[in-house]
Amino acid sequence: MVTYGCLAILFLFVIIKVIALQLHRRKPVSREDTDRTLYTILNGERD
Amino acid sequence: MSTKLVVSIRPFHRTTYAYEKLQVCTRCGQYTCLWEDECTACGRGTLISVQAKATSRVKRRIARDLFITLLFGTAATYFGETIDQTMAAASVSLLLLALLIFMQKRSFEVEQQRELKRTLQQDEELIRQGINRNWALVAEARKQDEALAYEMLREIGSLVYNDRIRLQQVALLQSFVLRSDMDLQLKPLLLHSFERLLAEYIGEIARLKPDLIREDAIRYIATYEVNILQLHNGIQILTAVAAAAVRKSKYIELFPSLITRYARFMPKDRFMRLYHTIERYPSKARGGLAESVGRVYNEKYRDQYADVQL
Repeated sequence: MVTYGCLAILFLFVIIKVIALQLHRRKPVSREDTDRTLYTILNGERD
Repeated sequence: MSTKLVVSIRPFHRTTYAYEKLQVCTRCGQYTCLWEDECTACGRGTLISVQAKATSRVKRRIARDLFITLLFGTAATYFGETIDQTMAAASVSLLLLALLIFMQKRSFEVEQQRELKRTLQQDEELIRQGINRNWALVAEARKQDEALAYEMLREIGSLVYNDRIRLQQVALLQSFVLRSDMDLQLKPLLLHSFERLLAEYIGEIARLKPDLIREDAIRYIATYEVNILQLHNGIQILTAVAAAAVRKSKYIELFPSLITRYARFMPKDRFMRLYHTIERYPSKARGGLAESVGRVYNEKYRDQYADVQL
C-alpha cells in the first residue's frame, strides 16, 4: 500500500516536472529578452 | 586655461550581452557592473557573474528534484510487501529517474536562461542599488585617478542611458589629452540637448578619429550648428565634422547644407575628396553643393592644378 502511494506521488511529481520542462522549451527566454529586462530595470520602459 | 591631463585609458571590454557585465556577491547579494576583485559592500572576494548565480540555482533545483525522486523511489522499493512488488517499484522508480535526468539535461540551457531572467526580475531593487553605488564610487575615484573614474563611468554608461552620466564622461574626456590610439567612443555619448563640451569633443574626434563621425554625430552637429557657431572654436568644430563627413558619399547626400557652408574652410585633401566625389557622382550633390564646391575650387585650387598640368 505504501509502495503504491509512494509510486503514485513519484509518478505525479516526475510527470509534472517533465511537462513543465517541455513547456519551457516551447517558449524559451532569449538572451536578447534577458538584456531587455535588464535595460528596463535600469532605465525604465523605453518606446 | 586649464591644463589637460596626459592619461592612458584601458580599452573598453565589450560584451555580447549587457547582463554579462553584472556581478553579484554571494555573501551580501550586492550587485556591481565594475571589474572588481572584491565586493565593495562587504570586502570579500565572493563576486560571481549573474550567469553563474543562475546556473547555481538551476543546479540546486535539479539536485533537489533528483533527491525527492530518489527518496520516494527508495521508499516505494523499501516498503514493497513482496519480492515482485519491490522489483516493480525499483524498476518504475529507476525509469522515472532516468526520464527526469534526460529531460533536465535537455532543458538545462533553457532553464539557465529562464532562471537568469527571473533572478534579474527578483533582484531589480538590488541591481539598481548596486549600480547607484558604483556611480557614487566614481566621485571618490575622480579625486585620485580621473582616467579610472572615466573607465568606471564608461562601464556604468553601457548599462544606464542617462544624460548625466554621458555628460560626466564627456567632461572627463575633455580634461584629457586625446590621442588617436585611445579606445574612444562617440555614439554612446550623444546627448539629447546641446552641450558645449560634447560639441568640442566631437570636433576633436573629427580630427583624431574621423571614422567615429557617423550620421547621428553629424546630425547632432547640424541640429545645434547655431549654438556651436557661438563658441570661440565653433567654425573649427563645424569644419572638422564637415571634413569627416565627406569620407562617405552617403553623408554628402544627407548633409549637403552643412558641407556647403564649411567646404571652403576644409583642408585641401578633404576638399579635393569632396570635389572628386561630386565629379564622379553628381547626383549626390544636392541643394547647391555642386555649385558651391565648384566656386571654391575655382577660387582656391584651379590655378594649382593648371600649373601641374602645364
